[in-house]
Amino acid sequence: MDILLIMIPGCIVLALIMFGFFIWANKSGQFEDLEGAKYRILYDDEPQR
Amino acid sequence: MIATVTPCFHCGLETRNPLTGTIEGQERLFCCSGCRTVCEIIHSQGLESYYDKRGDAKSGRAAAEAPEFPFDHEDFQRQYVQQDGESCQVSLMVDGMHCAACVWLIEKGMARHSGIQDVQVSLGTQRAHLRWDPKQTQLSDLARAITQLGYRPYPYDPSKLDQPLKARNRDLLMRMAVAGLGTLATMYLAEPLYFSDFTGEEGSEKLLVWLALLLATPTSLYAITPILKGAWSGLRQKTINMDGTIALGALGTYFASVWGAVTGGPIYFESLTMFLFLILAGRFVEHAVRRKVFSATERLLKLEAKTASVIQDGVPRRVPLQAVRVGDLVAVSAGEAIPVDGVIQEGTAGVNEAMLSGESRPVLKQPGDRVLGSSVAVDGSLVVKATGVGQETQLNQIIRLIEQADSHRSPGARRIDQITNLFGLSVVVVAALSFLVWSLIADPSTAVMIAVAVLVITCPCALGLAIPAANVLAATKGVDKGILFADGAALEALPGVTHVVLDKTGTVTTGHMEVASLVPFRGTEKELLTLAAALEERFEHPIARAIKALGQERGLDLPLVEDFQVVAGRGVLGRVPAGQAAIGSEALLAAQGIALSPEARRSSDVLKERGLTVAFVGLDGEVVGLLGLRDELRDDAQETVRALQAQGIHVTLLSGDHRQAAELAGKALGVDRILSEVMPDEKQQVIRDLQHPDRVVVMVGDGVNDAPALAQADVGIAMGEGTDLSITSAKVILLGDRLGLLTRALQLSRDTQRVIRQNLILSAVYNALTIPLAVFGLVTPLFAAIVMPLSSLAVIGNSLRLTRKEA
Repeated sequence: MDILLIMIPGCIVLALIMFGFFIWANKSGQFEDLEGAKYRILYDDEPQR
Repeated sequence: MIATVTPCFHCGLETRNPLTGTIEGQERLFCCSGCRTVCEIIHSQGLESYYDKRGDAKSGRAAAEAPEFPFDHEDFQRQYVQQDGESCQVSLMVDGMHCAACVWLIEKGMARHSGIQDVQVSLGTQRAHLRWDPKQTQLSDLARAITQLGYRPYPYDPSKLDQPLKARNRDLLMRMAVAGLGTLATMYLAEPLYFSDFTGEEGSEKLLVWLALLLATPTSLYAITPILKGAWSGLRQKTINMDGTIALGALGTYFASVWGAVTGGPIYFESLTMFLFLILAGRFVEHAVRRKVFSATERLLKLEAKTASVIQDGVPRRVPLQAVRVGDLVAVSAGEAIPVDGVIQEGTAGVNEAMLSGESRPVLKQPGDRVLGSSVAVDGSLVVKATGVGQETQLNQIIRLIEQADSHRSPGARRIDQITNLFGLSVVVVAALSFLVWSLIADPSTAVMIAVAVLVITCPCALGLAIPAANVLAATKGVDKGILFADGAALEALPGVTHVVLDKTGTVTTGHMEVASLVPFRGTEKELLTLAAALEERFEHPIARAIKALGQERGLDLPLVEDFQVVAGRGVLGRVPAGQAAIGSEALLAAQGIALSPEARRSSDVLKERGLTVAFVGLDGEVVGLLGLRDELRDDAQETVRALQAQGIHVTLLSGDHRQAAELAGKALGVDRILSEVMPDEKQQVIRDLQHPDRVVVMVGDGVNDAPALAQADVGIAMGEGTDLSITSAKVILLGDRLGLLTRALQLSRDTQRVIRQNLILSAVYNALTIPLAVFGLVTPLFAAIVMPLSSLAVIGNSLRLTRKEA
């Protein structure tokens, strides 16, 4: 029984943290172009100057 | 001097700013560095046979010249550029991107440009977002840099269309995520309540129940807000719409669960949150597909002139189209689209009004004549006094299109509205009746529980998803195939089609002329063609292009033409080594004092009889030959007509051209009925005459003159290469210039309607089975939790079959 008092708040906090990440990702437009991202890995990085 | 246009060695398209590259020791010209690199790789790997294997290289249509935009003009900057402290930002639509390599090239190429702070290119939307330091560079330089990379930038105003769509996208995603989170949390909490043999202390079960209430309340409230709004607006019109039915179910479930939490009865929080999550997920997908369809439509519409050259103090200046006022003098150079409606002040030109009148040959216009926006001055320069300026910019057109699609209720959707209305009412009635009956035979609290169970189990989830799920998946499938369904009503009306009306020019024909017949009166065919091609060499006109193309195909050496002169709307004059020559209409030759010989007249009548357009060639006061030109039929036109007829559809060919031309095309296609010499305003009437309550009339067209007919038809279908107005008037757009997509669109719409019917049956069966169970008090929370999502999943799964089937 006592374990519930720890686990449940713990889960809720974890979920809220994940939700915070989601809000950030959504606000920064990471879900806008779902097509282009998969091609991006194929580009070479610009050599460091 | 006119620059000769050499095709790109790799892709075969015209090269505007050719790049040179050395391939196998030979210097070659390329249209862009992408092609050059690809070609170098192909040759370095010894894969030259690729060029033989791919066959005809002339795949793409000729690249359009990038219009010059006044990128640094004040009005322009105000409209498109956002100032952001030290830096400026702009979104450009970039034409010519095909693959990830293009994205790479633009991003890397532009990043090297001085003053550039950030470049983001999206292949999906064909857009580039640039951020730069205005002190170091200016927008026109950046645009030029993109042009040099081989792409064409167009100004594009994101605030009008894209931002509202994006905002809605984010909002839906957010609500969906919240609902998902709520689902997850309540399911975790529900699991021990359902499945474990609960042996904890007295208080812990209560704890789980109250926690579920605590978590489900805010998440559901946030998720359901848009649905409540929709339900409220429905209630104000005294109907229970789909949102209303959903809200009824959701609220019933919620309050039943709160009651359960208070009294220690059953709770349904996890069913509620999952139900909301599924509904929102459906809406999110629907919105995403709609965004895709409209961004594709938007890309089709961007090519219209967006700037005009206005004469101010005697000097022409490029200004954005929005800055043109009625009464301004607008200069139009040869080959340019006329940006405004107006009256010609100076100059004469053949004006191609094919889009307005269906007449494929240019009409001679003189000072005092009226010209219409988006017609093309083919062979002369004009000064036009604007009488009508584009109040309706394209973006406004698209926005109107979206609003229409949003507000437009198809007959079927309206029928569903009636069903849901009835459904909502009957659920309330059944719940009330069960309460009454059960309160007579049992205690009041049992009666309340059963009434609530009725409200809960009849969640109209499946009903709510039945049509949108199928329509959205069909639209997605359509986009993949090159069919844009701008309006769900089209999907519904298409299966019942009884009559198809096809426009001739540009719809069943390619709109490109082709030389069909050479009739020399003196010398050989080759000599005639050489003379004609030499004269037309520097002339841009559908007929000239056809003659030049045939000349090139036969590899003719063209003599030099001196004193080249264009006679607007009639033809071309010039001096060749053999003498003074002319090619053009009968009127041109008459004006040159060349009379037609009886032989020439007979031959020209024969050609006209065959439905051809005749060009006369004169040399030193004599007619030396005739050329007959034909507008080519599309490869798949005949096949499409046959396929339609095989389905029992009556096919009509509609044309503004003269009778012979229309009949020639009509007979080749084997259509049921041919209507020729139809004036633009009559096209709509033709459709109206065909319409009948028992008939569904589909119009397929491409021109401005087809637009009223497209709008009048039960389903208007536009060709993707067609004019903007035709595209905005149509409900379905066929991309890639393939008429054959018409039969595919029909097939897809039939499949969709079948899936919708199945979905409705599924949800009806679900309700028919569960409502009696609820009425007799046999529904437990566990049963509801399993059965409710199952009904939605069945509907979604059934709809998904649409995307799987190879049509």
